Parts: sequence; C-alpha cells; structure tokens
Amino acid sequence: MESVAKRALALTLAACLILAVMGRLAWAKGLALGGLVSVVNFALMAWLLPKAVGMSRRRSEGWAFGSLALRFSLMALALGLCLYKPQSLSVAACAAGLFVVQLTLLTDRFLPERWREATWGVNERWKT
Amino acid sequence: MVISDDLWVQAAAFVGAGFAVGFGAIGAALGEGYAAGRAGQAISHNPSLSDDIVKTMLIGQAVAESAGIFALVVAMLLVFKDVEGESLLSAFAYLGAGLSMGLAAIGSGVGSGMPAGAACEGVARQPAALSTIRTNMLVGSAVCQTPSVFGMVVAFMLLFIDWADRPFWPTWAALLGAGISTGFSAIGPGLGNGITANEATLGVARQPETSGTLTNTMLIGLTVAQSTVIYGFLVSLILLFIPKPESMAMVAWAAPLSAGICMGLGGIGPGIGEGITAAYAVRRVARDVEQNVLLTRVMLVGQAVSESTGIYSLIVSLLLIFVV
Repeated sequence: MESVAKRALALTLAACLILAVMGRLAWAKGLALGGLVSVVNFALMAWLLPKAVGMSRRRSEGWAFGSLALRFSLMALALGLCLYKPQSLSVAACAAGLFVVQLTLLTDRFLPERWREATWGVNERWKT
Repeated sequence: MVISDDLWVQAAAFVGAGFAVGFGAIGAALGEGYAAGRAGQAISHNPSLSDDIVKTMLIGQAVAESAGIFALVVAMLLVFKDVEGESLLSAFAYLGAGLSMGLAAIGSGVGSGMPAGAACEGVARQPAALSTIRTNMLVGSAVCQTPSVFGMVVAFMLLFIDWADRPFWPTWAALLGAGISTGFSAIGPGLGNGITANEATLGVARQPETSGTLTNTMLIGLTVAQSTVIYGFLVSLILLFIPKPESMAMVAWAAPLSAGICMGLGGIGPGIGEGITAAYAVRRVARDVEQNVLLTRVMLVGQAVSESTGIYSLIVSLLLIFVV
C-alpha cells in the first residue's frame, strides 16, 4: 500500500511541476491539493477499513459508513476550499487530483512485469 | 412572504447536492461493504492469506469509491454555485443534475464492489494467481464506473449550460426528464456489469490460464450490457438540445418528463438481465474454454432478447418527445 501511495504522490508531483513550468500555478496547486487528499483518503481507508473485519455485522456497517463520511468530508473540504478561492486553486484540477490513487492502481497493472513485481511484491506464480 | 427566484434556485441547488452525494454514498458504501463482507469470509476460509486478501479488498474498494467521488464533486459544485440573477429554470436544471449523478452512482458503486469481493474469494482459493485475479478485478471494476460517467456528463451539461434563453414552459420538464433518464437508466448497467465482472474474476481464480479469453468475453458482455445507459443518455441529449415551443398545456410538459421517466426506469431491468446472461456465459467459459465461441454467440443472442424491453422504452420515449 505504501508503494501505491508513493507512486501516486510521485505522479502528482510530476504533473504539478509540468503545470508550474507551463505557468498554470492555480492548476498546479489545485492538483497538488487533490492528489494529496486522494493519498490521505487511501491511507485512511487502509487504516480504518481492515479494523471492520472481525466486528459484528451491525458494528462493521456503522464503522464503514463512519469511515466513508469522514473521508468524504475530507474530500469535500478540499473541493470547498478550491471553490472558495478559485483564483488561486483550480477546482477542475483538484477534482482530477482526487482520482490520482485510482489512476495509479489502474496504470500499475499494465506496467512491465518487472516493475509490477517491485510495486506489488507478487508475480505470475501460476505460470511457473 | 414572497420568496424570490434566487432563493428557489439556491434551495434547488442544495436539494440537488443532497440527491447527488446521498445516492452516491449509498452506492459506494454498499459496494465497499459487500467487498469487506466477502473479504471476511475469504479470510475465515484461509486465514494465512489475510494480508493479501485485505490488500485486494482495499484496492477494489478504492476503485468502487470512484462513483461516490464523482457524486461528491457534483454536489460541491451545486453547493457553491453562484445563483444570483439566475432564472427559475436553473432550479430544475440543478435538481436534474443531482438526480442524474446520484442515481447513476448507485449502480456503479454497488457493481464495482462485486468483482472486489470475488477477487478476495479468488485469492483465498488460488493465491498463486493473485496478480492475474487483481488485474481482472481492476478491469471489471473500472468498466463498472462507465454508467456513472454518463451521469456525470449529463450533470455537468445541466450545471454549466445557460438555459435562460429557453421558455420556462415546458423546458423545466425537459431538464428534469434529462436528469431522470440517464440517472435511472445507469443503475441497471452498473449492477449488471458488477454481476458479470464478479463471475469473470471467480473464473480467473478457478482457471488462471484462461484469463485472456475470460477477460475478452467479459468485456464483450459488459459492453452490450451498457446499451441501455446509452439509450438513456441519448434521450437526455434529445431532451436537452431539441428545444420545444413555449406552451403551458399539460401535454407539452408531461410528455418530456414522462419520456425521461420511461427511458430511465426502462433501462434498469435490461441492464441487470444482460449482466446476468453475460455472467452465466463467463462462468461456463471458465469451465470449458474450448466452447468460448459458441457460448459468446449464445450470450449475445440472450442479451439481445433481454435488451428488447429497453428498446421498447426508447421507442416510447421518442414517441413522447417527437409525436405527442
């Protein structure tokens, strides 16, 4: 999970640098905020949701809804900040940044096998 | 006390935001809960693999949450919308935007959770194929998000296009109908895609060497199962971009609203039915890959028959828009 977070942050940083060099500072800042919140959301998910495994059904449902409410509030806060100060933080870039972890998860699957092994620590064992 | 148009529009924007994030959260939470439940079952079958199972669950849940995040973005745009000087028509556009996004996110959220749960079960059964199982899960979950993207596109059109030059009667009904059409019609394909991707992921766990064929068959099944959301999207576009002359007659506003309801509700059943057809086909392909061509052909015929009620809904919707 740490490697996914690291890759997502690296991807965000690279995109922000490109946008900053192009002079799109509001876009870069919005993307940085969205990407950071996306990684924090994933980290919270990785920390909170496994605790629900082993709870009673009623408690685990409450825990999952509570976790979702907390993480959605965090993302809403980031979007709200951008909507409050649209001149310095781009809303569209922040919204795109919120999907950085999902993008990393999807693109990592289609990397060459050698890189994928480094990220996920697994290989196609059934083939050998 | 006289309530100004601005206040009505603001209230409608808040209600729309509530629809978007409320329905979106239902989808995301149910999908995530389903994946977590099956992860728990998988761990009880094979406790030594709990680490891999929990990681698979988290990856699946992160993708399943995407539709909820789309809904959150639309809700925040609605909450912070500057409504000063906007016509009363915007109130219906914002209600439609909230409904389109929120309803579309339900099917995608629940549907995406299904392959995530199946992947957890598959990892417990066949840990050697972990990477292949996760890849199939991610492809299936990602395709499940497509109906919610249609919902988001309609929501953005309702939010950002200026409708002020259109007559209030009957445009308000067309704007609301457009949101209802794509929103409801996306529920079925989202769920149907989840049912198919669930079986494909279990099939990959059963026979990892058939993963290429299984993923291809799954993708064909998923694409056909998404037809009804495309019909819903088409009806929304017609409602939004073919203006009607001003008229306060009941027929003039009831027809576009009914067209949206007809296509929206009519898209739910075929989407789920086509997903079930594809799920059975994929399950059999995993057991007998040699029969892939025959099974795919039968699947397509079954899906075409299942889709006929969706086509009837489309025809009735078009009649309501162009003939009535």
